[in-house]
Formats: sequence, C-alpha cells, structure tokens
Amino acid sequence: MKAHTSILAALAASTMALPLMSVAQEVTVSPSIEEGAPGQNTVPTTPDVQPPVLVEEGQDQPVTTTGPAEAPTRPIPGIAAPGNEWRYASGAANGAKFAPFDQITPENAKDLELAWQVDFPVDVTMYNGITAAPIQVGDTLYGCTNNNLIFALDAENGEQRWRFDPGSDLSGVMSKKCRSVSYYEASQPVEECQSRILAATVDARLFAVDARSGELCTSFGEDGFVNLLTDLGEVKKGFVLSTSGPTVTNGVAVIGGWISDGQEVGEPSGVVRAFDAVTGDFVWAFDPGKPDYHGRPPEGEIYERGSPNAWGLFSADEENGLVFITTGNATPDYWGAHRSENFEEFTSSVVALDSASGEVRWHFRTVNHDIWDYDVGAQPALVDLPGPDGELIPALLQPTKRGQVFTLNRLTGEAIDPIEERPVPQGAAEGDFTAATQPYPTNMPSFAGPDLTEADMWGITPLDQLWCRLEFQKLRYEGQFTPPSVGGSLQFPGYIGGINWGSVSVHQDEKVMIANWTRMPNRVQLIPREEANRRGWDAADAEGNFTVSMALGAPQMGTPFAVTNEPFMSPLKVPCLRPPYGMLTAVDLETYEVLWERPIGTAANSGPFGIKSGLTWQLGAPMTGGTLVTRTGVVIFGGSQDGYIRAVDMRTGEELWTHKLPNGASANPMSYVSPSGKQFIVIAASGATGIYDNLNGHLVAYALPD
Amino acid sequence: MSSLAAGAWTRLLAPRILAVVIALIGVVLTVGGAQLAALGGSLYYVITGLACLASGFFLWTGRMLGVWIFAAMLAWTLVWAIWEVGFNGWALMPRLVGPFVIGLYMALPFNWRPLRGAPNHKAA
Repeated sequence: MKAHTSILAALAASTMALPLMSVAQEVTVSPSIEEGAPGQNTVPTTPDVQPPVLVEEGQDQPVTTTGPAEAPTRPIPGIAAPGNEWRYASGAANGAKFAPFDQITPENAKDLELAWQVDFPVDVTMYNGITAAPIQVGDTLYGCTNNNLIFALDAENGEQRWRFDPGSDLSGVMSKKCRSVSYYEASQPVEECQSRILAATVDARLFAVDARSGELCTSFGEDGFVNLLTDLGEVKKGFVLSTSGPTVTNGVAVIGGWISDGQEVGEPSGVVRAFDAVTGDFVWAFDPGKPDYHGRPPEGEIYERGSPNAWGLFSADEENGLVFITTGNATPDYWGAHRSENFEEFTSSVVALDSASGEVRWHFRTVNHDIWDYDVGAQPALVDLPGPDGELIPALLQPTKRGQVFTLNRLTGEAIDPIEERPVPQGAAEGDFTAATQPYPTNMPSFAGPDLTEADMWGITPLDQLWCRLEFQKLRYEGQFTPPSVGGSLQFPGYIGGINWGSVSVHQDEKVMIANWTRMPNRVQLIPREEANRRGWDAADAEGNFTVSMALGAPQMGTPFAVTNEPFMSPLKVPCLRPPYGMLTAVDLETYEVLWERPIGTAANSGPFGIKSGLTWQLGAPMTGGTLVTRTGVVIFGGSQDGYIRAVDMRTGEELWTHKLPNGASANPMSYVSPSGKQFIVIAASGATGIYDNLNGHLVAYALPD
Repeated sequence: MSSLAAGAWTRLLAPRILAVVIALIGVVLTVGGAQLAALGGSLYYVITGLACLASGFFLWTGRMLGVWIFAAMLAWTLVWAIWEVGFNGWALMPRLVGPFVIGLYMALPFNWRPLRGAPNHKAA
C-alpha cells in the first residue's frame, strides 16, 4: 500500500514498522519459517544463475578506465593475509572488512551495475536465508545458507561449482544462522582436502569439505564431522548452535557457539574450542568457567554449565599467535546474582587467547555485571595505529552493543584510548546488585546517542506520542545502565545495540573507522516468578519448545524473575523513539574525531502496523549487518531495512550510489578482484531487518561496466 | 424552539461531527496530559486537550468561536513543536501532521459556514 493514497498512510511516512519486534539479534524468532525435515541430505534444485540484468542505474559512460588487472597485492600491515583476496568473511583475519582494491572509487561508484545474481531455491526447509558474506579464494566464492548448505560459485559469474548439505537437524532450532565459512590450505601435503572449507552447523557440528570438489573430508573428525556437543553434558534441542563459522588460524579451527538466551540457569557451557584444521582433533579449550584449564574435562565431567558463550565472528593476529573472541553473559541475561566469580570476570568481554594453547593472554570486560544482555557480538577489528612517537601500535577495536568502542593494544590489552570508570545508576531488583561503575573510553565518540528525554518520544499522532511520553515518565530510566526492574525500565541502547555483529570496518591505511549503529530502546520488565508461573512460563523442554516467545521475553528459570524485553513501541506499532534508528559514522582513529555522521536508510519499508510507506525519505532505518570500506574510500552498506545497497564516500559521508536489492539484506557485503581482474561487490539478500515477507534468497554481485 | 433545533441538526451536522471527533481527542489529551503533568512531564498535552474540549463544545453549539480556538491551538502547537524539537522534520511530524490535517478539514466551508459568527454568515 502506498502512503500517498491516504492521510493515515501519509502519517505513516515517518514511522517504523511492527517488524521491528523481531530485529533482535540472536533472539530473533523467524515465525514464518517451517522446520525442515531433519537430517535430509537430498540435493536441492540448482540455484538459477541469471544472466546479467541491465539496470537503469548511472547511465553515464565510465569516464575513467581503471586498468582491470590492477589488482593490488600490497599486504595489510601487521596482518598475515593475502592482500588481494577476501579470504575471510570479513576480508582478512583482522576482521576489518577492508577491501584493498582500487577499481571502484568515489568518482566511479555511481556507475556500479548488477553483474550477476544467483537466486536460491525458495525452499525454506533447505535454505532459510543467507547471513554470511561469502569468502573468495582465487577463482571461487564460498558461502553458506542459514541452514548450513555450503556452496561454491565461479567468482567471475556466480555459476555454481558445487554445493554440500551437511543435513543439519533443524528441529528445535530457534536461531538459524550461518555467518561465515572458513578456508584452510594445509601447509603439509595431506591425503585429502589439501584446501578445504570449514563450517559449523546449527546442530552443533564442525565439518570440512574439499574446496575444489565439495566432497566431505572424511578424515576430518569422525567421518567428516566433529560433534560440538561432546563434553557439554545434557543439551536440550536447539540450546547449543554454531551461528558463526570457525576462525581458522595457525592450523586450528576455533569455534564457539550460541547458547539459548534466557531459558534457565545452568544452560550448557559456552566453551570455545580449537580443533586441528586437518584432522579435527581436539587441541584446546577455553571455558570462561575454568579459564586456566584448556584440556577436555576429566572423565565423567563436563565443561562448566552456565558459562558465558561466544557466538560472534572471531578475529586473529596470525603473526602474534592470537585469536580474539568475544563473550556474552552467563545465562540468563537479565539476572546476575548467581554468577560465579569467573563468569563475572569474563562476561561481555573480549578475550585474547593464545591460538596454540588457548591460554588467556589478556581480557577486557566491556560491561561490569552485565544484566542488560549487552553481550559482545561485534567482531574485533584489528588495525595498527600510530603511537605518540610515530611507532605503530598493534591495536584492537572492540565495538559493543552498549554503543562504546574500546581501543586496546591487542598484544597486551592495555587501553590505547584511556578508559574511565564512570558511576552508573544503582539499585537492582531485590536479590541482585549493580556494578558501581562501568568502563567508558575517554576519546572515542559514543555510538549510543545521547540519553533519552521526554521530548525524544515519538509516535505517529499526538495521541500515541502522549502515550509514549507517559510510559517514558512511568518507566524507570536514569540513562544508560538503568537496571531492569519489576515496575519496568527503559534500556537504551537496547539489546540490539549500539553496534551488533555487523561490527565496524576500518580503512587500514587512512586509519578511519566506519560504524553503523542502531538507536532503539527496549522496555525491560522483571516478572516475579509467581506471576511467570501463573502465565505458564517455563524453560524450554528437551525438544526445544519454548513456552514464551523470544520476541516477548524469557522465563529465566532458576532465578526469582522472568523478563520481558520488547522494543519500546507505541500502541500504533511505531517506535516511541523518534528517528533516526540507523546511523553511519566515520571516525578518524588518530584523533578520534567524527569525520561525519548521518542517518542511513529510507522509510520505504516502514509504516505503522507494518504498512510499507514506500517513501524514499531518509529516515535512518533499522539495520543489521555491517559495512566494508575500500582502499579508495568507498563505504558499502546493504543492511538497511529499506532493502537498498549503498555506496557512501568515506571522506564526506555523501551517498554515491544506491541500488534496490532483490530482497533486503541482513548480511555484510564483501569485495574481491576476480582472476580476470574485475572488482566485484557481493552481498546476500534474503530478507531485510525484521521483514520476512519472503525468504527469497539471492546473492547479488555488482561491478563497474566493462 | 423544537423545530429550530431540528433545523439546527441538519444545518450543524458537519461541524457537530467534527465537534465529537475533536472533543474525543480532547478527552484523551486532557486525561493523559493531566497524568503526564502530574508526573512532571510536558504541560502541552493537558492544555491542548482543554482547548480541544472547548473547541468541540463551541462547534457543537454552532459557534465560530470553536474554529478560532482550534486555530489558536494550532498556532500554539506550531510554536511549541518548534520550540521543543526545532526544525527536525521527523520529530515535527507527529506533533503537527495530525492536528493540521484536522485543521485543514475544518477549513472546508461546509464545516464553518453554518456557524454563528462565521465570516459572511447568512443569518437564518
């Protein structure tokens, strides 16, 4: 329905949609997705490769003819990774999403056009969307669908080379995601799978397939698979899943996992483990519950239940033998009185582990006593920054859902941007406590936005705006880190962030960080156990059936309170907070100055009650995923709810190019130069943030005209 | 008198429909706005709610004063909105669009021409 047809819809122009209800990262319920037949291993229909479609975009003839074979091979300082490939989901092991290519520039980005598009079969049992940015090695792209189908495509035209279905058991899985696959080339000759793709499944298995043939590497683990439920004890269905692929570094595949949110205390351990990338043999473990013990549990024991998990993409510094993992909270999220000393120490942290032994080199906790679900899902971004004496300091940027980015020395964990402990609101619900202070960076700008005021309340009419203002006044809100309460509290940033798993991108030469971040408060309310019991709320059963929708709240069994944690919306299903909801900011990392900041994304897919206004006014739409930045200073972002991919000038923030995606994207973009010398930008488009009209999956490639 | 009242019903149908709508909005704004004021929030809503009630009352009774009160309310709303959020278009939208849409509708002649005190009012 188009907005200009009625007054109501005209009002809708400014508003956000009900689908926001389901934007929550890692707690998203995909209501329309049917469970697949478990374990099936049938080969699905081949994806259709469409010939390039001519699109009326940027009709100007290309004015510059950048030499097509100009693929640069300059290495990225401090990072052992090929400079001319996109070998990791985030470009390199540094997680920086930096494309060191020169073809697409701020001058010619307006000429970008659709180069090819792969349409995946509309079969939700097999497919279920794509979150991962594919990786590119040589002439091939590798990627995965959220149901763990692994595919290999010709990097020139998207034609399928092979596809592999690990036959994941999808029953009871509430959060089907596959954020990455990994590539590994054995350094010594091995009997099979000299080069291989490693990936993990939503039913918690790690596996390897031959990168050339797509055949399972049967010598890996047991017949090709490592069971990640080993040593975890009792695991209810869907309680442990791998939503991000392994990070392969120095010969090991490091894999964490997502643990079901908020069901009960003592959920399975959040242990991170490393397995030999060739054999699949266990190498080491890091369990936040026992941070100094790195082996398998002794006979008859298991990894410590309830320990913080690590579900995001990890980064690695190969030269220094470090892998950087990010942790969440000890389960459940909105209650912390029961957490052990180790759980508290490693909650919502970035942890530097020795990639050979799993030993903790350092760790930094981004939230003290986290009772806000501010788990760290953003991949750490590595960059070398000039120090005071001109020397390069190996740095790590840790973006957070709470909206701060911490700048640390990645070898020592020391703060490069000094960290202040600031007093925060006090007074948790009876039985729990609040930390007296929370860490804040001194110089880095905030990606949380200023604290909310009543005047920030929105709605679509004066009536629901009044409702929002009343709620704002009634809810407990004393700024960031207002504790959850029985009477209801406002949490801002909400559990979406700030900065979620899309993380930031970093221009490695110019030392510019690009952050896309969300402004969306949550209404958090603790529900006394008696009331929760009356409502019939209980932990999920062994088959993974939930008694309360994750979009509404969580039972938190074993604690005195259940919790509801909904986006703060008016009765007309528009946000109580005025736009923008999606922001894009560029920061000079040498001065911590904001180069520019702008809302990103239009109101096209937004409106009250889920109506799509169709209006292309800049709104600052809700978003998922992240950016990439090219060496030439072109920022690419496709995660806005409006379903457009955009190129933005890194130096000015000006929009250079935009193109409607065949479906919304909840994925990071990637870029590479193919063997023929052409730079492509590729993004998966299979349903925008919170909008699941259809699950049509597409992988879309853009390039400059020949 | 009764025949006059019946005639008024026909004559005042349009402004009376508007009066009911505005009065209902006025009730919500007054009650909610009073709560908001009691909680230390903005006074705009309760004052505007009372203005809507007054406007509705005078429209119902067929007097042009109802239109003038509503117009004054719009003027005050415009000033308040800009004072509170500046010229931020998205923030102005809920504050201004609804009230001014009603205002524009009210400006249609069939709404105000029957009212006593209206410009060019034809005495019955």
